[in-house]
Amino acid sequence: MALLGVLDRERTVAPPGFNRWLIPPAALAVHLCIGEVYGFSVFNKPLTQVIGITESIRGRDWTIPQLGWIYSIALIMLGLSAAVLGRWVERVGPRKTMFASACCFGGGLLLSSLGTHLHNIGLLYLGYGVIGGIGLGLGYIAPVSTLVKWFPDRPGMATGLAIMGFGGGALIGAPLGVELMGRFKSSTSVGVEEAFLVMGVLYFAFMMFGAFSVRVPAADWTPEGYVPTARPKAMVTRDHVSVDRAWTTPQFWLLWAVLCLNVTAGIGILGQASLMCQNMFDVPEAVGAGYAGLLSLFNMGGRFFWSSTSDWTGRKAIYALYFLLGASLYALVPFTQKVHSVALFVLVTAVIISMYGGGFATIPAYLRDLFGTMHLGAIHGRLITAWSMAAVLGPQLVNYVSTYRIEHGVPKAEAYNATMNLMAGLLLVGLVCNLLVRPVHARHHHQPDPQPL
Amino acid sequence: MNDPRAKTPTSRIALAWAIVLIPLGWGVFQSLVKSLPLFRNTASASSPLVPGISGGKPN
Repeated sequence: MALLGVLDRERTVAPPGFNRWLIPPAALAVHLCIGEVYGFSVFNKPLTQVIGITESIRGRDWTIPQLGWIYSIALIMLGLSAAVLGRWVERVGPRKTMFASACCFGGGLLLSSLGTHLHNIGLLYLGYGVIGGIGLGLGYIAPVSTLVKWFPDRPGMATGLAIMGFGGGALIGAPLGVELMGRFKSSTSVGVEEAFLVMGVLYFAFMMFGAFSVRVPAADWTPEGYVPTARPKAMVTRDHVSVDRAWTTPQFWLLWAVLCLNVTAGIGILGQASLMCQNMFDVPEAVGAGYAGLLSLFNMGGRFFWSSTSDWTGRKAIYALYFLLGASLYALVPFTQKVHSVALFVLVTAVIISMYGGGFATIPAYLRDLFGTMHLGAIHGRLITAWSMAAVLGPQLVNYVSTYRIEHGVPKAEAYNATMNLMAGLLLVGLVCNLLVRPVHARHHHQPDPQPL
Repeated sequence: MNDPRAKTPTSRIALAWAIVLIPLGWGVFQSLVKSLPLFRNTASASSPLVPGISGGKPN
């Protein structure tokens, strides 16, 4: 019990002289680990050969559709746990949440290792999907409100740094998984079971570094030399809105739509990047894979770049840019195919994906501007359900529209053009939602109790 | 507001950043290596940004 006391919020209040630049690495340590979920696909093929080792044995080995559920369950649980446990996260603070996240994510990988050993798909659904997914949701929202409180002068940059880590997690997780499977592969094993085991332990240890580094600022703390402006900007409140009030406001649902549409448009490309590049330009598979790798870099970099930029431009303006520029660039993609310029295609889609990442990273700061910091983590948690929705919608839209057109005689190279125009349309709807966002009415503001909670 | 006698040592901040930036740097490097075929392919075209000139194989 003494150990659990170390996790309490009261025990994590930073002493005087504590440097706030220790907080972003703590947040990154957690996000770099949980971002591994984006690289889970590297395990798909080996998992279809657990029994056959060199080839998949029909009827005995798992199939890709069966395995696809692991990723889907994990993402659904991410959204659900962030939405349901958000208030708990706010109450217990970042350290206990990061600890719980590490236990769930690391434990989920260990259970998946056992499931692979026993060849029991249910254990993978439970381990990586349900338990690991809860770890994803907790870890994703854990550091957000803490970072905003430490960086009231640059909230966009601070949350951009952490959420950049989630994008970066795939860059580490995918090659690490491949490397480990290569090391442990033998005549009796595809190496997945051992890779899950090692990754479970490694990720748990790395997340512990984050959990025990994180601190919350003292109630009266402000950064040295920071003086809040006498008159806050029109779209930035100094009041607070409780989570239960926040999600009854139109602003919450407009931002929900903003996030959902931005993510739907981006994820549609990201999930199909390699295949789309090959089909549109008839390039080899290695080039398509290289294109997907490059997009991942822009996805990660955009999270930091655009979110930091929003501290200067304001959140509403930067989202207007994401949507307007994004829609224009999507509309330009068919032209790149028409003139058969791979370089122009790569440039255009890389900027689109950077803004997709930017949309993720800027949303916590947008929420802070509108609803204050009191229940920011919980409100952010509920908004993340938009991501779960988009994770289903985006790939389905791209798949459905392109497959439908190919089946109706459209050449493969041109089949994606209609999808691009559809994505541009979605972004324009997002633009309208963003333009409708106004400051939250004062009647929703939290009135402090005479006694502290 | 901060107590100057108890400032966080710079070495501690540097170590914390190194712990997260080293694996991230490795991941970025791996992605760049993976994306090299793309650059080779686009560089092989004479002028891929000029409309009408192919950056990849002709369709």
